[in-house]
Amino acid sequence: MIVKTIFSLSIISITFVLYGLHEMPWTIWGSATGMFLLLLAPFFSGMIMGYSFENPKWALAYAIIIGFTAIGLNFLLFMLPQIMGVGDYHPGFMADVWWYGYVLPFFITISCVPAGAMVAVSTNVYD
Amino acid sequence: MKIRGMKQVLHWIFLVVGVVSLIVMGITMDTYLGYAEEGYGLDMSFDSAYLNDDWLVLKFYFENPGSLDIELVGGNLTLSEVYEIPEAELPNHIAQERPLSPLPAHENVSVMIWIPITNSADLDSIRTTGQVDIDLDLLLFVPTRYMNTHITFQATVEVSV
Repeated sequence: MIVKTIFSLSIISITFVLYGLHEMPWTIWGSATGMFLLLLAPFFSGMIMGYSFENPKWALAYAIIIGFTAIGLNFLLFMLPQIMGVGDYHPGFMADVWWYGYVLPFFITISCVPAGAMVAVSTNVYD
Repeated sequence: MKIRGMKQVLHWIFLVVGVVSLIVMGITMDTYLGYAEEGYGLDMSFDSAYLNDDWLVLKFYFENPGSLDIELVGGNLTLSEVYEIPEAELPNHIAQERPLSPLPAHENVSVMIWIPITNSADLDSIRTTGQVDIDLDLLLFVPTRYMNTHITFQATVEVSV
């Protein structure tokens, strides 16, 4: 379960980070594949988490907590150069951080992560 | 395929994707911090230098492999004293920018940097030896990220007098 949590956090937050940081040569920003991954990766992580629960209530709660922790991690990673003071940032940077680090991930997280968890937990009855 | 088998396959995929995402996360953050700290991914190479009266003219090639436009807004050259590169202004806001030279994404640009050498000892040294130890610290502005960073260049270069 710890491994699942770590991997889920990592998969969801790296997807958000790669979408937000479009200066990276390996960015997923601005492509159809990028949009697809942005929706698919959180759904997939939610689904794998959902397999570990018998009770849908706990699966939903856990998926939402992990989703929001991933948003926090993404927000932190986006701001890391500013926090560490390696670059000289102007106030406009925070608008970018809020958009790519919070608003966009928020809507994707509340839509896709619980959806994945619910799909998975509903298949558990077939075991 | 039975549900149990499908779950197993999905778990294996999850394991692989999870490991890959951790590795990509490490590389991405290292690159992002490195970009912010110096140069924003720019590759800077020296081409030539010459002396025009008491102005030292340095020609550089810049390669911007990233996906964001970068602007060269100023900087300074250290010889026996520090010379500011003129016509440069630090933009406080994107609308007030006055770049020395834009360095567009995915492009190679050659930039001529003109520096007035006011110290006669430095000028005489360049004229007699035909070379100069340059220690250049250039200021970059990344409009999309609203941030400034530096790129430095140190070398001994030949100067056509």
